Amino acid sequence: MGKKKSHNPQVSLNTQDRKERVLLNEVDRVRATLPTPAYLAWCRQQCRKRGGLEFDSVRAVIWRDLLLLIPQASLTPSSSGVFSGVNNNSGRASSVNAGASIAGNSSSNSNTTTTSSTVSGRHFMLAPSVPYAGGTGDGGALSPNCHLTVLDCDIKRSLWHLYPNDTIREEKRQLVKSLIMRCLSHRPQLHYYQGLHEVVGFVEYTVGAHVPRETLVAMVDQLLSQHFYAFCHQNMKSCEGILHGVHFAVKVQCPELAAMLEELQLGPGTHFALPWVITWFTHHLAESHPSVLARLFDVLLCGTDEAGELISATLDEPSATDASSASMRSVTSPSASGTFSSFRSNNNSSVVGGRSSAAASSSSSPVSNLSWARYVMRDVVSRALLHSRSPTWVPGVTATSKLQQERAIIQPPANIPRKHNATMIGLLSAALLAHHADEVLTIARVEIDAVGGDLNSAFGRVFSALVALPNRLGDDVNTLEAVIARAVQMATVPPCDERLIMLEKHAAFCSEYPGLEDISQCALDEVAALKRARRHYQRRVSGSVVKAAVTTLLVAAVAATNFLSLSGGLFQVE
Amino acid sequence: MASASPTRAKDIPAKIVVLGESAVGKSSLALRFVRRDFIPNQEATIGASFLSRSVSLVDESPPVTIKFEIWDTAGQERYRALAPMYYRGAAGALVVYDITSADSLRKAESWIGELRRNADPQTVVVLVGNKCDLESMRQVSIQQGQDLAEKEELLFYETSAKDGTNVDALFTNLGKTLLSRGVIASGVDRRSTMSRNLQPPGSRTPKSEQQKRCDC
Repeated sequence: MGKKKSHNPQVSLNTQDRKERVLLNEVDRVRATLPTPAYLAWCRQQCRKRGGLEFDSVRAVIWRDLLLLIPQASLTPSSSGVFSGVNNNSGRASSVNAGASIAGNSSSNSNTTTTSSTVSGRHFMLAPSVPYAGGTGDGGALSPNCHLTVLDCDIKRSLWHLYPNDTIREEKRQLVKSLIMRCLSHRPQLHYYQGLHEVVGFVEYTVGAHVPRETLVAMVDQLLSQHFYAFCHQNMKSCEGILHGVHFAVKVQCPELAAMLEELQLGPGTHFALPWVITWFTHHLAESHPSVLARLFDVLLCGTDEAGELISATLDEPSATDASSASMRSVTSPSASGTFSSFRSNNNSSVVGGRSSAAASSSSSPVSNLSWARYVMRDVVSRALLHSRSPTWVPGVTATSKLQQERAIIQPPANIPRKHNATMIGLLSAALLAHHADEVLTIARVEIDAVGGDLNSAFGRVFSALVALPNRLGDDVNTLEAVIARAVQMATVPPCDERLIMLEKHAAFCSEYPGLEDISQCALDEVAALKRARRHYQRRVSGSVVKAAVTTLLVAAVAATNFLSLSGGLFQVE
Repeated sequence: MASASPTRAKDIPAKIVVLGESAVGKSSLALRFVRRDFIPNQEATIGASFLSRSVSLVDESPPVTIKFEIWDTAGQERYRALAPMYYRGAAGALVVYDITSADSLRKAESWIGELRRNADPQTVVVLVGNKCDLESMRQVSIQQGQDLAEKEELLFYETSAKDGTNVDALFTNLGKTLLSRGVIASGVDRRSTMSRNLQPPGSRTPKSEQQKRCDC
């Protein structure tokens, strides 16, 4: 099946084998020695370094841990009911798996998770196993969110190239179908969509041979609930915000390209990038360049949420309700009329809610634009806290009171999902466009010339050229790594001045478009909120801590830009 | 993706949108017409794809060349929110069902209803029963298709993207109808209709239209 990503034949096979073994041992050693949060930070580092994780066997371990090792506080009340299965699950992992190193990892894994590897008093634990709904997992009483008819159609026409052998392909199709159905049947708020089957099929292809079946199920389940939930709504609303974010990020990176896209009416909606975003490029790359796609998944699974586990465990109330499903319910309610073109009216109506909840920031009214922004800010502040590296600000028992002050200023809304890792795919899409800006501009000009300047006739052809852009990632490794490096850089907190300017630019950008005024206002409100926050810290915190806090907040202010823009989808949830 | 034939300024562009339930063969139909080929291991369409092919209608006087700009859409209900972007301003719409699936005909009816409510009134709608090569599995009779087409005053074809039956005839006839009804004509500036569709989403749709469409 060509699982090894070596392009050199036989000669280097032994070298590759040895390298793979060395890497696996290294992962094992690091996990055994570091506390879980530090280990996860190390995993992210490995994912983002040039070349990524290289081997599927290594991916199996690191992807699994990135997905399954989650702060206990993030577990939903409903899911904690099945938590007793965790130890069985890892126990099975070590006994069933043939790969010795993975079995070793699994057992050390259960050590790290079940012993008190804590951050500010909260445990990291393996995500719960996924129960069978209705006993059998397929057939029987099916929840409508599986959209079985569509799923069946899609499964029947998938995995053509990954599994050329008909018998194996048919087995894999059934496996992918059962994975999707099992995970969705116990998450009724998430809906199957065309494209999800490709994502699950690819994950199975990459790590399926290296992890036990139950672990794979749990991984897919966490993949959906952490990374793809934003696309699993019944409608397309949350994708739209990310697509707007892609355009904004392109505009920052390459204004000329953004202008051309706007002229061709391809921005800021950026709908050509829809399949990129909702399938994480799987639709374009899984069949033709699986190893390239696996490399992208290394980065995408890190999210932009570097400090996520560390900080959300500190900031979140342990008694927080199932934020994610509450929000989902509001999204999937009949009143949420989700169409791309209803963007304007929805935004306008939510502006009112946004402003009013600004006045009473701690109200638990429906999630408004502003409370989304606040949530984003909390996240960003968290990241900045980590970056500041000041012991006072590293979350922990000693920092609790200060973090409570933090919460008083930047109040997270009550009913929102805790994670929104979808932003990384937006950044990667923007990086892809920006990297190929010259080429895209040339194509656009040629097409426009070819049709005598008629932009409408050029529109479709440029659309086609853009949709196919991810294929360029398979051209050569330098392009791939350059695009990834660009996206990672965009996801990293940059110097504050530059970022403050970007925040204001974003406000200006949004104000240019009818219907986006409220997002613009939201960005400006955040600037004001941060200035208030800064004053607050200046009053309350003394000495060198002031400096650290102000720096931290400025960095945070600025880092908000990407979140504000790329989490645009978040703004639209009512 | 697009047809290899170079675009000539004198070609009359005609925007065509292909709608219908998942897996009825929308992409295969479009690919059969544009590439004259059938790809058995076609994958699900995500979002939309664009294809184009120019066709010369020599028996028109004077002879004209129509450049079909085909927007092939995703079939799943959730993508329905995207469809208006592609069908508004379209000269023609192919509403495709699968003759081996009675359900797909019902879905076609709902698409026709949506086009009636929201698309330009002059958009020429063609009802297409695809997969007519699978006669043994037929669930929808030709008569049922014809009845629906007559009731809704649509053009009607049964096609097979697999063996090519009626595909070229469908597009040729659609082109002729577009010309005879004056939906497309050389020298017409379509910019006004097109730009309305493709504006930034915020300004795209009047509110009344959205409310009508929110049935999904």
